Amino acid sequence: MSDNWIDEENARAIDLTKTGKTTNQNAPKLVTSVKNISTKRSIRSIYIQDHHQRILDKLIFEQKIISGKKAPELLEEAIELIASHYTIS
Amino acid sequence: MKQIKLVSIWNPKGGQGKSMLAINLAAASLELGLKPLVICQDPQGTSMLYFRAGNISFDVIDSVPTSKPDADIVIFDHQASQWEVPKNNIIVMPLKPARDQYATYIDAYNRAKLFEKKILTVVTDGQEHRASEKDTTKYLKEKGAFVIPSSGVFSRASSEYLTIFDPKMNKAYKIRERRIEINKILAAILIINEEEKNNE
Repeated sequence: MSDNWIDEENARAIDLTKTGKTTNQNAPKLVTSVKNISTKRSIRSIYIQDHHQRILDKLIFEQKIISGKKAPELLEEAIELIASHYTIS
Repeated sequence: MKQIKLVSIWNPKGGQGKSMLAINLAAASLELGLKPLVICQDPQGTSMLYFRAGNISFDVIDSVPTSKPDADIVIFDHQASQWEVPKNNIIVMPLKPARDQYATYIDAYNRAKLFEKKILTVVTDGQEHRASEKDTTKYLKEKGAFVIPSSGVFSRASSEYLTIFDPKMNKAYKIRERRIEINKILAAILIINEEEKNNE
């Protein structure tokens, strides 16, 4: 047997790749659905002063107006910032 | 932080040996002292059937975990008909050495190359006495493919939902050769440097 058919298949596949299509482009395709699983979070209570809470409330409100980050995300970001600020090693 | 090796076993063509490779590569990595995890993404659930039969000592789960799993190597057993190129950088593509099987493989292979994936080709179930299959296997081997020939070892293992690394398979004919072939593929996966660009 010669490699003729392999050459033919290789050439066909290269042409097909250039088009970005499949051999039977109109056939129904399998679509992978990805479930949006929310990040696991739990309610934690923190002991802070009123004026810090007001700053946080204002920040949350401002972010809400611009469809920005939500309260848990802001608090997580704050924790990461202070962690990087105070981590010694 | 522990680096997990993420491997996709992919070929849109069915019956090429994706699940066989997934569970046996996981078994081989267990032999090596690694902790494998198989994620079965096939509704047929072949890998899940092996797990449910209770003869394998690693986990096979049906969906991607939400948190980082405690594993050294995570093997995704993709389903047939999936044309979407898997997200993982390392893709193992099994194929049988017949023309129509090769046609699908090479289409999928070229698609994966567009995404600069590191691809390991594995020729499975080739019959030495068939000239065409022998020549195709030789051609792919020269291109760097691994070869797992047709063998009773796999049918015997599948009849009991065992991996070929199961002690019950120790006396199977040519078991050593088959285990070496799987180990070679695993070794190739483990030494891939995912940081490097694919220069093939």
